[in-house]
Amino acid sequence: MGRKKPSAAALLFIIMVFELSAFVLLSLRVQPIDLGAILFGVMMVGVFILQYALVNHFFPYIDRYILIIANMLAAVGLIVQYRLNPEIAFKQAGWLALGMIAMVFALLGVWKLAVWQKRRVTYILAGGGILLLALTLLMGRSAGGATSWFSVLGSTFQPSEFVKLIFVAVLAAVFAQPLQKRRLLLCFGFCGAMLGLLVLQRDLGAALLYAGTFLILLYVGTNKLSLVGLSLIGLGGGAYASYRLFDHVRVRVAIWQNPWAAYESQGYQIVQGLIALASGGLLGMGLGLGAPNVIPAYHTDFIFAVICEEFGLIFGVAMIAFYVIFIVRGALIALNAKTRFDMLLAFGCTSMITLQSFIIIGGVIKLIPLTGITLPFVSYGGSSMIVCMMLVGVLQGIAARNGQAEDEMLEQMEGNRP
Amino acid sequence: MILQKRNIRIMLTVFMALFAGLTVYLAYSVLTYGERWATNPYNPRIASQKSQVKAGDILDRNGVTLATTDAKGNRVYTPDAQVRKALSSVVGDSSGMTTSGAETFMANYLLGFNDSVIERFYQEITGAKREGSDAVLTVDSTLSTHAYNLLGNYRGAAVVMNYQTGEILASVSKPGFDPYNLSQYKGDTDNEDSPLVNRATMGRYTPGSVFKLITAAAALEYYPDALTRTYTCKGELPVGETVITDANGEVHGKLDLKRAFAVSCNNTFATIGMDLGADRLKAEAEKFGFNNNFLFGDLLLYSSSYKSPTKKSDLGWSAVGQYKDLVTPLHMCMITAAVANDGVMMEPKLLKHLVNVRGYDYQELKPAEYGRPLSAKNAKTLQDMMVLAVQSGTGSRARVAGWTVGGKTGTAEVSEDEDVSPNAWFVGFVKDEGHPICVAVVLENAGSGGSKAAPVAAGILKKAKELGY
Repeated sequence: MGRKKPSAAALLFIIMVFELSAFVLLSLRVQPIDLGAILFGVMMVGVFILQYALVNHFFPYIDRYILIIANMLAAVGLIVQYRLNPEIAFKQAGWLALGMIAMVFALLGVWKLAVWQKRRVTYILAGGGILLLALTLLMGRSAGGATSWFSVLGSTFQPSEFVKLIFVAVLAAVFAQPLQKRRLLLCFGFCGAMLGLLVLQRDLGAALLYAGTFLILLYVGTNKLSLVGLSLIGLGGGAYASYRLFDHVRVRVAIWQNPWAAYESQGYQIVQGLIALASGGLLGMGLGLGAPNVIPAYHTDFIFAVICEEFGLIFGVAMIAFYVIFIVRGALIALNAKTRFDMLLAFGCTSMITLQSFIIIGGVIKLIPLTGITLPFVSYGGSSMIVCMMLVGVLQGIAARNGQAEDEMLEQMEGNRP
Repeated sequence: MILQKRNIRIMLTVFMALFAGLTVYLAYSVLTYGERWATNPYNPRIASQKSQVKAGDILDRNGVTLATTDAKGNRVYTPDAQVRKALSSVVGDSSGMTTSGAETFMANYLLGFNDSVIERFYQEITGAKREGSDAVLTVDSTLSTHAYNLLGNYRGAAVVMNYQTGEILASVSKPGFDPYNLSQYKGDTDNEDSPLVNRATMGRYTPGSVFKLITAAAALEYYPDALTRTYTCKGELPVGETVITDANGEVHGKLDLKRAFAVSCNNTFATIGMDLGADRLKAEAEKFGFNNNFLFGDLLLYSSSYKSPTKKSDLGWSAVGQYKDLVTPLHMCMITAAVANDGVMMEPKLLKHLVNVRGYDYQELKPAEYGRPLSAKNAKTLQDMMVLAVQSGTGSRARVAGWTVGGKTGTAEVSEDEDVSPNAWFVGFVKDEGHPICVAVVLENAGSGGSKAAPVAAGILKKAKELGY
């Protein structure tokens, strides 16, 4: 506990002012004033500050910037959800609260439990992940063109979200150990099975995300460019095969090339997204003054277009910058890690968030073909929110281990002094 | 772990590059295409804003109101039905049935989308109904109506531009529509015969001999002795299995480039085109804006196309504006303007300025250069050739007393069928820096350019002179 950190009070204050003024604006939309909005905003800010203070107090080694940014992005999400539909914002706030708890559990689990590298645990995780995805395919219900939802106890959840954690943990465990043919083949088989199941579920966004994370961890962990090249060829072949085999993949590519040609049908969503971006212009239409409801999936996949429409291009770029800071902090945690497993686990989580935000923002602005996944921390969705917060928890757990190890080293050095 | 850490740093750099790409692409696409996307008729915000915002007026350059909003919020157009029809292609309609008019294309100004946050906030707290800006266009409604009437019973288009500034003084498309009577055209928006299609900007016509401007410019550029070379026109020029002919089987005999341009000799220009080759001809056409996606701030202009022929005879035909050559009347007017303006092509401008709610003018027209397709010297030579074509060539009916007019006729074959009359073209300009006017006219299936289109152009220029341009 030797090091003193500079206070983040100023930063938190600015964020608080932004969030509260947004809710005041939202409350002014109706006559008489919607006190619920202000109450919601005050409670949200209160919970954030409380959570920040508590987490900081009990886990002094964590990376505060990651926490602040995750909270900030979640707040932007809640503001937009409330503007779109207060009912959804209340639900999302519930998911966020669960996510905060899940984050603490993930933090503790990574920090205190040293089981994640054990071979038996890896096998169990890998088997469980495949089983979950296979069960979804067999018994799941479909939403938005993808069969990736699973109904348990009356509420639906999306296993491919939770499997992300499993996927990263398994890959980190495999690549943390010396290269071995049998292990590598098993790992390739595991990844192939995962990707195949996701493509069969038509969850192309998740497939892309998993494939990208796999490639990154393979490269970082093994440093074998030949393996990366081989996997790239394999994945490219798979992508081409699915392009030839599946109609929905071809449609995605075609509407990416020219969404305006199919405005009335498949291109509608992208076109409306682009129009929303353009209607916002540099400074935005103003909170509550846009017409985002015309974009399908406005509160999930296309929330970035809604944000740009109402807050403007400048804020959209700022959102991208928030993700960049998050990514840099995540990479720093990986670089400070004391073991290979910690390092790969931290960088795997960082890569997940990176790729996920890149794939969906890039899809919405038509830089790459659109595949429906959520914008981390911002989009509406319980599974997504909880898993994103758990990814933060894992990162923080490793940060805590790093901090603890460094402190122990400092103490040792002081003890050695004559 | 050193290697792994290095790899993490490399991946982090890749991530940074990805996100930089995201930012640049986002900013680039919104700033470049944003206005086009926002003013798209598919944008439901335009319709929904209309109930909340009082749309601004549309005025012509002299302050004549072309469209306004009455106290009940209904759109009111100018009372004279003929003026309404003549300006329909420029003004458009407020229900979004036409895609290129000012009502749609400038909706972001008219509905105040471009207002600053402060302006919006001010209007919000004062409780006044929000108002958009007024748009003052560059067109002259008197000249436009006159041009529209001169087109007579033919379908077609006419465009008048100031070749020094690019201001569009008139742009008419016949048949026009009456914005009060739109329901009759429902479901007819994609039909190319529909009055809702703005022929001046969206009509892609075979240019015929007006394309010789470009072939002549290429000859001047690539042949040092272009003006002294001579050609012999025997009326028929066999190329492979086909024969390139002149209109009405005329035989021009021995002639030079200037004379060939004045009498519009297909034989000569096809020979030049085949000698230059497809690549050079295509490059020349592209310098003048063919095959280019025009992205102008004030209006939507469809692209013109020049496709490289592989057969030699097709190359010959493409050099005289047949084969697959296609051009819009406004683009043809821009090409003429580039020649008239000593080689500098100006961007077409339709917005003179905007007037905000409090009466301040802003976004004043700033002339912008589109390109320099030919040298000043070659442009001047081409001007002389065009003047000769009017004084003693096919364009003689375009003469205007008191002005030196230069021009080029075109008679574009549009069908193999002998009974289908060709489209008549005329492009021309006034050789006088004090009256920098140029004009392009096309009349569908009217006959020869010299006899049908040239008199219409002359009539338009006379009216422009009368109006003091």
